[in-house]
Formats: sequence, structure tokens, C-alpha cells
Amino acid sequence: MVSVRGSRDSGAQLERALLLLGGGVVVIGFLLTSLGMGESWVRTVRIFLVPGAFLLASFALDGIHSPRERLILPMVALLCGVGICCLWLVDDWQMSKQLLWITLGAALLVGTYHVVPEPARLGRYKYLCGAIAAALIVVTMIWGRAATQDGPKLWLGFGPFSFQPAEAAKLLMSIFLAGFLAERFKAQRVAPGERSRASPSIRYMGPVILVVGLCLAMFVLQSDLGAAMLFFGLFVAMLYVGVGRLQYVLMSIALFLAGAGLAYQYSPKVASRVSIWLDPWGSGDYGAGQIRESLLCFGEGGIFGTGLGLGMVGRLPAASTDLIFAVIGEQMGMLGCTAILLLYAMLVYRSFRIAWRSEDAFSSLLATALATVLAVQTLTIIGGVTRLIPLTGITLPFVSYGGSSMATNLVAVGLLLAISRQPGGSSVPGVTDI
Amino acid sequence: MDFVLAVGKYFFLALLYVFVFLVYRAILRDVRGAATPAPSGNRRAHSGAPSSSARLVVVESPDVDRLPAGTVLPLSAATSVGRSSENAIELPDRFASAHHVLIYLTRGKHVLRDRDSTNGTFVNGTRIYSEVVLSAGDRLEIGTTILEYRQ
Amino acid sequence: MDFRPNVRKLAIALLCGFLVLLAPLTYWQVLVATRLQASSYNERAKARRKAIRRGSIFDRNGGVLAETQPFGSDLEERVYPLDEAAAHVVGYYARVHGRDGIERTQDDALMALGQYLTSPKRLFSPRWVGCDVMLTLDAEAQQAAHVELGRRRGAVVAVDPRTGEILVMVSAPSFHPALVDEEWPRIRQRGDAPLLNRATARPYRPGGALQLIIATAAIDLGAARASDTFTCRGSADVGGMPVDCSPRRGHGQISLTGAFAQSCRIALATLATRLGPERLDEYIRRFGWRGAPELEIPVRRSAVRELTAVGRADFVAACLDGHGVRLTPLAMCSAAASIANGGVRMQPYLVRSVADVNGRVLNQTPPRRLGRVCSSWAAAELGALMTSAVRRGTARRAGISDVEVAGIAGSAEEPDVGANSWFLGFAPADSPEVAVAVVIEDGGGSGEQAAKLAGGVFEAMLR
Repeated sequence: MVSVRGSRDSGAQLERALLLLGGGVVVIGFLLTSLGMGESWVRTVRIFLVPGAFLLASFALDGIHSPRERLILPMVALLCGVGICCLWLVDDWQMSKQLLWITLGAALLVGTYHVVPEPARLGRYKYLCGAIAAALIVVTMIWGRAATQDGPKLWLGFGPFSFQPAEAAKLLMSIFLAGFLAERFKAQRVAPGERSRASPSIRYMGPVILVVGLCLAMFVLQSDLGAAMLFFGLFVAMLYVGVGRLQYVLMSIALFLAGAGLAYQYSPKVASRVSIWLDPWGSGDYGAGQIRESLLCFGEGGIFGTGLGLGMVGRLPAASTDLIFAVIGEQMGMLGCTAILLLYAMLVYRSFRIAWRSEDAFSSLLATALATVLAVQTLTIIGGVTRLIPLTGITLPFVSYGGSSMATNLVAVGLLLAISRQPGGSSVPGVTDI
Repeated sequence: MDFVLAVGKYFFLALLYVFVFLVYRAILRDVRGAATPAPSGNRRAHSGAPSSSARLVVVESPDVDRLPAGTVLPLSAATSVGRSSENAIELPDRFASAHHVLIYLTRGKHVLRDRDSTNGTFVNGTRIYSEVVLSAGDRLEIGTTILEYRQ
Repeated sequence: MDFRPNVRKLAIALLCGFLVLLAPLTYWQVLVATRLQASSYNERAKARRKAIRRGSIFDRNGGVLAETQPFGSDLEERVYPLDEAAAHVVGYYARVHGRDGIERTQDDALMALGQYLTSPKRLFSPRWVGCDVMLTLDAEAQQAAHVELGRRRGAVVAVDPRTGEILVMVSAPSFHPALVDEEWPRIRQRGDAPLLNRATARPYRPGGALQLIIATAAIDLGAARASDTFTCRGSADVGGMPVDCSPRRGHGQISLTGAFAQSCRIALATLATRLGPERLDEYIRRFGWRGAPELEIPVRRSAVRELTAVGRADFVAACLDGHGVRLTPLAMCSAAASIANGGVRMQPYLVRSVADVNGRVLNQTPPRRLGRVCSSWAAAELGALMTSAVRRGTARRAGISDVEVAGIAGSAEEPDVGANSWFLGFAPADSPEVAVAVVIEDGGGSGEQAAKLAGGVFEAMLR
């Protein structure tokens, strides 16, 4: 038996050290925000909840002695903290609620980690997960509530509680896709060390295409374009991973553009979004104000930002959810935005690293899916807010206000950490270990 | 007050980048090859059967009572070597690090990896800083212990 | 297990996406950041302005022309001591209708905006204060000219010929700069355009102001001398065109000086024909009546048609009656100033200096020489001509006791307006300190009104 106690300890130390440093950054940020806003800084005490929750989680996760991914948790904790600081400026009440979501989410993270000791086993429930995902989406479309009059119906409510099923659906869909692909790969078992000669053919992807297509249709019908982008991105990514040939990716993108073209023709909402994207300064639509204010926030930030608590985001709509990155842009400037971008990039990288280091096919694919979701979501919303692509309504993971979003993302992190717990490494043939 | 806020703004950004940099450094360290943990025996079987006859033979040892010369040490899919008792092969050598090297099997070959040992690892007289593929007859110098790789 | 390389490629693709995001960030936060900050959509600008205490505008002697005063407990208002008299130059700073005049063109200095956004000093001072702007105007003279102009419409411009500093710039009808927001609908409805700065933006038919060109060219080129005589019989055929003079019977034998003083059309037409359109165009250019003028507040170009391009009839009409010639009062004054300054044309300017809150001068406008309109002895001769025009000629009314005034006056017909009375000249004639141009709309068929007003201005400024 070989246990590598030395590096496990140093891993834990690294994680705790980073959590403490990140916690320090967040506390100082919160303090500055209170100074900038002119609020009493006695209320700063609340912020300790964030690093505290994650530090506790870090200890709780180490009940099982095994090496695991150490860098993701501190990064997530820091992002959550930055989100809190920005939320305070935007909406005091939402900030308090977000603290609650973070704490609950951290608990869920630990719970997921322990409840799923062998992520590979989740693969058994793939069809169930897929079905539930589809069902949730349909149910929401029929019985859900919307935030605004015309808006997409995003919420399902039970009494005082409401959540966004689309968030849970993305997790379930990831499990479904991963499981499905893993099964197909197992069917083509190869001897270790030998490369398979042929990749699974596209026919195998049939059921997947059907399910995903259905979901996409439903999202588009509702004009919940953010979720549509996300699911589509996930689908194309898994398609590529499964089949390996770029032509299918290009075909899907072509189909997407065709669909988008149709949508532009027949859906006034889509047409409005596109025209707002092309010329936000001239357009009189409501949405144009959104992207205009967003860009103004970035301009005000300049290179160094206005400083925490000093941004003037009063006119920014959806500042706590979709456009929170603009709030970061104004207060922390280009340097701050780049730092946050780097954090997300490193998060995505470490998630993918878990994917390709994992021995088990399903776990590896699940990690891929989760990493893809994180990446696509972040790229989509930041791209929209900076007018690189049209703005869609999805949240910035860990930063945007939203209980469902926070809970789902933290559960995903829990899954990733659980997957990373498995032994893996250079005994996997043909892959260099980076 | 404006002064405090201005200083705070730059300080916060700097601190943020310190964090980013430290994470980045940790990533780089991982990339350059900290040892990867081998599967712990009680959990699952590892892929890749050990090459049945690969072994280390002790040529020279600082403590002939506990590790006499000529001792045959079998190698498995992943074998850790060092001073600590946690290793698969425990060396009673003051000049060996607690976790000195890891010898693992990949594609039918045994690879030796130095785990940031203090005094270094030498294969056939050359110091190894990361990894090297072992061939039959290679002389490994770990601390003051000399082992020979045989198949 | 061979999907793993695909995973790596996917990862690389997505990570590249993050790299791509740096582009729009750089664009909005670095490259066009200042444009966004100044955007009219940006509400923050208004908040920022409120945080700054705007600088004041002073006249050349330190008198206040515009300043910010507290209003009520927590508001502020912009106050204009000279009110209507200097409204067109000083401008206005209205909450709803924006800014104009010096308040607009010197806005950056008055708010010290450039430094505000970047200066670390901002962190220490309790409230950011803009810079003060000192104008070249003479508040007393400005007020006097405004009163003299009274309810008539027109403009008065006075300039120091030695430096180009604008001492007086009055336009009437005027408005109350502090009440622009409140009175806006009424102001816009008025038919007499009170917001128009007639001194700089209203080109007038100068009637015989082209006489100045003719005389200048003639003397400078030696085509005529002050003592040359012409025969005027009331009407004559000059260069193939019939010209009528007034009085009908003609001036008889008249010297150049007399012809100038009495505005003898036949003599002038003869001279003009003798000189020819090319040479006259050249002097028109020298006086700066063709180019685009520069000033710290918006100015319009004068419109002077190319004399070489017109037929003979139009040529004579242009020279005598100013057909096709439209000059702003500022341009006229500048012409008078050039002659007063020994033939050297100076750049007119309004802003003397800009000083920061501590009194430290940041910017001082030096007088700038633009060129020569004629030789200095020609200028002296012209000065003599213009002096006699005042002593015995059409510009008689501009004379004041104790000081010798030089100038010419006349009237010009403008359709729909009437006969505009105009004057341009300078004083004291031997060592000029002030050059003045006056235009009074519908001021009677002669230059009398304008000349009289000019006299009043000289009086105010030289006593």
C-alpha cells in the first residue's frame, strides 16, 4: 500500500492557506465597499460567513483520507465573496439572501461529496436523470412563473419556495450525457495501451440529439435564450468529445445559425435582441438601455476601477443577476475584470484536468460536462455583457444573485471534487499528465 | 477619506493578483510533476498488470542489518521508495528523503520519478530531476543506498 | 478510453474563449473609456459636475462676469452681474439647455475636468474647484456700450489694435443668461433672435466699407496719393458703367481725402477700376475677410465674393455698395484695428488668462500677429484720411472733445431689414488705443447713428 501522506498534507495546507488569503481579500473588499458606500463598517462582520463556510467545508471534505483537487474550492470561495461585495452595492437585501444561499450551498457541496462516494455509480441513473430534466423543463414551461410580464417562465414555486428548474436540469442533463456516452464507449472496449481504431459513429448519438433537441426547442419557444445557449454548448461539446470529428461540430453550429436566422425572422424578441446588439446607442428598445448602461459601467471603470462601493450602478437593470459583471467592471476596472477572468479560466482548467485524469469513463465525461457548463455559462454572460455577443439572460456562476444557481453550481463543484478523489494519473496510457 | 479609498482600491487589486498568482504557481507545480498518488490497494484494482519479474536489488546499503546487500525488492505498478515507513520500500538511510522516489509502470515500462528529494537521485551517475525510463541494469543511487534495476 | 484527447482539445478551445474576452474588455475599459465617460447617456457626468465648484469668469480688471453662488441650503446657481450686457460673450450655463459662449468653450478649464479625473490631489481637497478664466473684456465699457445701443438691434465691437484683445463685444437684442431655462420657449419664439451674437455670427452688408479696401490698396500701391484730385460731376461713366454720386451735382474737384471723407462714389469707382479686381481681392485677403476666423467663441466667416469672378457691373456695385460683400462686425473692427496698428493685423482674442484656484496662472494668451495689410506709412495716410472723415465728413458724429477720432461711416441697404448704419474707426488718431466697429440695424439712411454710438464708446473708454 502506498499512501502519499506527505503530499496530502501539503495539499490540505495549500487549500487552507489559499482559503485564508482569499478570505482576507474578501473581507478587505467588503470593508472597502462599506467605506465606499458610507455604511457603518460594523456590518462588515457578516462577510466572515463566506470564507468561514468554505473553510469549514474544506475540513469537512477531508473526512475521507484521499488526495483530491485542492485549488478549486479557494477560487470558488473568492468568487462568492466578490459577488457578495458587489451585491451589497446593488441590493442590500439580496446580498443578505445570497449569504444564506452560499452557506446552504457549501453544505450541499459537502453533502454531495460524501453522499456520492463513487461518482461512477451515478451513471446508472442516466436515463432517469434525462427524463427528469426534460420533465422539469416541460413542467416549468406550462406551470412556471415569470419574473416579468413577457419574460420567460423560469421558476417553479411551492408555497414560499421557488427554484429555477433549468439549473437542476443542466446537472441532470450532464449526468445523462456522460452516462450515455460512457456506455457507448464501454461497448467498444479496447485493450489498455491500444488506441481504438474507430470512434463511435454518429448513429449512436441519436437519442441524445432527440432529447437535447427537445430541450432546445422548449427553451427557444420560451425565449429563454440563455439556457438554450448553455444546453446547445453542452451538447456540441459532448458531441465532439464523443465522436471526435470536427465536421459534426460544424454541422451543429450551422444548424444553430440556421435556427437563429429563423428565430430572427419570426420572433420579434430575438430580432430585438440582435438589433440591440448591433446598435445599442441608437435603438430605443428597453433592452438597449441594459447593454448601454453595462458598457458605460465598463467605461467608468477604466483600468483601475472606481473602487469598491463607489460605482454608480443605480441605472443598471438586472445588476444583481445578468449584469453583475458590469458592476465588477465599474468598481474593479480592467485589472479586476482580468483577474476574475483568470480565476474562471483556472477553474475551468482544473475542472477539465479532473476530467482527463479520471480513470473511469463516466466520471471523466461527467467532469467534462460540468466543466463545459461552467465555461460556456461564464463565456456567454461575459460575452453578452461586453457586447461581444448578444446579451442573454444567464447567471455568472458563484457571483450572480440566485439561490438555484448557487446551489446547483456548488453541487457541481462537490461532484467535481468527488470525481477528483479517485486515484488516477499516469497509469492511463497515452496521455501526458498536465 | 478619499485617500483611504484610493489606497484601498489599489491594495485590493494587488491582493487579488497575489491570490491569482499563487493559484497559478500551484498549477505550474502540478504540471511540472508533483508525484501523483498511486491507487491505494484496498479500493480498486489498477489497470496494467505488473511486469512480473521487475525488481530492485540492493547493491550497497548504509545499514546492512536492516537492509543487507543482495535483498530483492519487488516492484509493483506503483512503488514508492523513501525513508518513511509509509513507503512500499522503506530505506534505513539517513541521507534519503522521507519520500524519495516513485517507480511506476506505464505502457510496460518502469519509470522512475524523483519526488523533490533533498539529496537528489542518481541513475547511472546522472542526477535525475524529474523522470526517467529504467532499463535493465540501471544503477540507482538514493541517498547512500545503491539499488540495481533488474527485469 | 480514447476520448480523452478530445477532452483536451475541448478544454483548449474553451480556454481560448476566455482569452478572446480580453479584447472587448480592453476596448471598452481602455481604448474608448474616456468616450464612454463623456457620453451623453452617462448620468454620472451630471453627478460629477455637481461635485465640482465651477470656476469664475472675470473681466480684464478682475470684475466678476460669471460666478457660482449658493442658492438655498444645498443648491448652487450661476450668477451673471452684467446680465444682458455681456450675455453673448460670457454665455450661459443652464441645467436643461446646456452651455454656450465662454461658459461652453472654456468649460474644461472652468471645471478643471482634465485634472479632476486623474489628479491624486483630488483625494485630499474637500471639494474640487475649477479654474478661473479672465477675459479681455472691459466690463464698464461693455456696460456703457450696451446702454448706448439701448433698444436698437445691432452690435458693437471694440478691440485694442496693439494686441488684438477684445475690449467690448455687445450684441442686441440680448437675453438674461441666468434665466435661459425659464425663458427658453419665449426666447425661441421671438422674431429678433436674441441668442444670436450679432458681433460674430451675423454678417452685414457693409455698404461702403469696401471703400477702405480701395483706399488702402490705392495708397499702399501708390496708385493714388492723398493729394490726388478727381472730378466729380454727379454722374459719370466709369469704366463703361454709369455711376451716380450724391449730391446730384457732384463734388466738383475733390481730393482723395475729400472723396473718402464724403464718400464720393465716382472718385472711388474710378480708383477701383484703376486698381482692378485682382489687386482688390488681394487686399481683401490681407484684411482676413476671406479666411475662416478664429476666436474662443463661435464665429462665422464673412462672405466676400471674388471680385475677379464678377462682371464689371457687379464689380462696381460691390465696391460702392457692398453687393456680394457681407462682413461681421468683428471683421470690420479687425480691419480698423489693422490700420490703427500701423498696418499690422493682430489676432482678436477674448481669453486673457486662465488661473487655478490658488491664483497660479496656467495659461496666458500672447498677442499674435497675423500679417500685414499695408505698409506703415500707408496706414498712417489712411489714418489721416479717416481722421478727416470724422472731422469734416460722414463720420462726424463720432467725434469727441479732447481726443482725435479716425473713422468712416455709412449705411447699407438690406432687404427686409432696412438701412443699416455702420461705423468703423479708432482713437486716439495719432496713437490708437481702441478700434471700434458699430452696426445698427435699421439705423437710418446714414452712418450717423452708428458714428454717434461709437463716439459714446470712445468717450467711455478714453476718459
